[in-house]
Amino acid sequence: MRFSHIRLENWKNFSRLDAALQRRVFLIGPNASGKSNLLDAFRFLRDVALGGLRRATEDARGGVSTIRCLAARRYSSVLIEVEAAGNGDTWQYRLEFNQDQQRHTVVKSEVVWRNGQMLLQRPDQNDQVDPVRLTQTALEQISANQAFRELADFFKSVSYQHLLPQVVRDPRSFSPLPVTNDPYGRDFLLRLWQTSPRTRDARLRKILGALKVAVPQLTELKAFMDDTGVPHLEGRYQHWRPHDARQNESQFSDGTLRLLGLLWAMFEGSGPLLLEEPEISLHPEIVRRLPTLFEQINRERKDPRQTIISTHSRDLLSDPGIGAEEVLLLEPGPDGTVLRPLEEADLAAFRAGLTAADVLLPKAAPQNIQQMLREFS
Amino acid sequence: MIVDMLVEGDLDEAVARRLILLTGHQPGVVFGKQGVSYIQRSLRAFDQRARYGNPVLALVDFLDTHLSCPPELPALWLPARSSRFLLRAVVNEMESWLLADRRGIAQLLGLNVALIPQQPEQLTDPKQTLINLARRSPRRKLRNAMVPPPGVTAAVGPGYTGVMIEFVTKRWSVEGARRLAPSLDRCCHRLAELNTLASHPFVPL
Repeated sequence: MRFSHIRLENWKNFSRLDAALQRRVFLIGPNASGKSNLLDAFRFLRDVALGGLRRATEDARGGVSTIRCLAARRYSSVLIEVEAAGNGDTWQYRLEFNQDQQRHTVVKSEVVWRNGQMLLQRPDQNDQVDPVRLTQTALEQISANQAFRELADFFKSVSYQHLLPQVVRDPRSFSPLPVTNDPYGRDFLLRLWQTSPRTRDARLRKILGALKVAVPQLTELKAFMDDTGVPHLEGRYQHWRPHDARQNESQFSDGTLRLLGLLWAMFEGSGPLLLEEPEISLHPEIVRRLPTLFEQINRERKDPRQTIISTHSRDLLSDPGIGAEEVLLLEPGPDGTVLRPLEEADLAAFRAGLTAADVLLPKAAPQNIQQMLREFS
Repeated sequence: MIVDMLVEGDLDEAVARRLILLTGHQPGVVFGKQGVSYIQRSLRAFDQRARYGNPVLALVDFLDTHLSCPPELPALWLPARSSRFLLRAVVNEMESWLLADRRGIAQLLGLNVALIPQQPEQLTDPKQTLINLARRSPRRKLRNAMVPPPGVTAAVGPGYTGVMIEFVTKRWSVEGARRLAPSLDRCCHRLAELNTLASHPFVPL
């Protein structure tokens, strides 16, 4: 299954957004245009399905007033509506929420459709009798989501990757305890270790093959657990001495760890994968090949997974296989960020052989960029 | 009218913006900024783009084209182009257009105007000329910014682009420069003529 559409109202810096989503989505826009906030809408659905609405809003995101768009009117509700398609079904899920006098999150409306047929509509009679029910979504409750469990499971399958090499190397100084969802890779090595040895070794072998191109000295890659029960990765590096040197993850370069984490994330899980700026720390020649590399890993799956990638990288977007409709161009404005529509002229340029890097990325350049140099001259 | 730009680099962008504003248009999206070979490679596609969207002003340093005379540039690089695509040769290099505002450059560098060349389009290496002039500037900070320090292989000083963008945006007199740089004058005329084009782009059925 994959997301085929998203509609947002008053979500963070979007007062309104309506976007069709392909199986691959590339989010571009200037800094602070809301790329991460758009990714966060998908993570939010995951958080609601996994841990409930209140935790997703109040614990993880500072409450409704923090989530609500600055451009929104003071008391307006936040709305997320998505369409997902797969296994021959089209699902729609709509959630509108706000906060009560005690600043607790309440559901204003929750609706689920399957193939155009409405399966749930709240508030219903029960909610009117017992308004406390509106502090929870049906999505988060096993007893209430039976008719659309498939959709709830799909939301739970969303994963987000923004691996920070420093965190992988030294997870305990980042956080003494495991982190929910683990976006920064604190428990990356633990997850890797917990994968069944056969699968793990097969994946590491493939990853090594790709890594060797970037780091030619690397000859072997394996996971092991030390005497204190902490999992590690070990690489063997060739050098001029007769025996190869062994290094563990604390000595891996930022680029090695980032690429390893990206490729592992492609193997791990089956739901939509959200990637934040995969180009960081990598050589442009590698970045240019990331879209193809991701597709190659994806092709081995029965049902290729959706990837939603935020990027600033000209190299990544210069892949001629990226279509204009796969790119979402975010443009900040006085009333929040909007989606800049594709122009007929851009399509003509694509047809004439230009890529997203040539045509669309320049539109994402910050306005008044020239002023930056002038400020200091 | 909104005019998009296809340029070699940041300084060329600053110049293109000034010219577009000066001729009564609004600057749009800036494409390229990856040197001259990129422009040469992608001309045809951007010409296609201009047929359906905003007109495009493309500026190419004539020095970089290795052609023998400026009119050859459009004729050889893009013979069948849309009237919405302005491919203009900057003779010989963007710095020629800047040096053509002799008073402005003299003021910037704190030099006597008599030291600034009178025929900027005849210079074979305008950038070097400008940097050599900057070497004689009494303004130490400016000199350090524009002139590469001894022993460094860079063609320009570490703050060169910033200083020149500032100059182009705030001080450069296009009117003054047009008198000494015929290619700049022609470019401004072509930009002004864009107004006579149909305001709606050509869209085939």
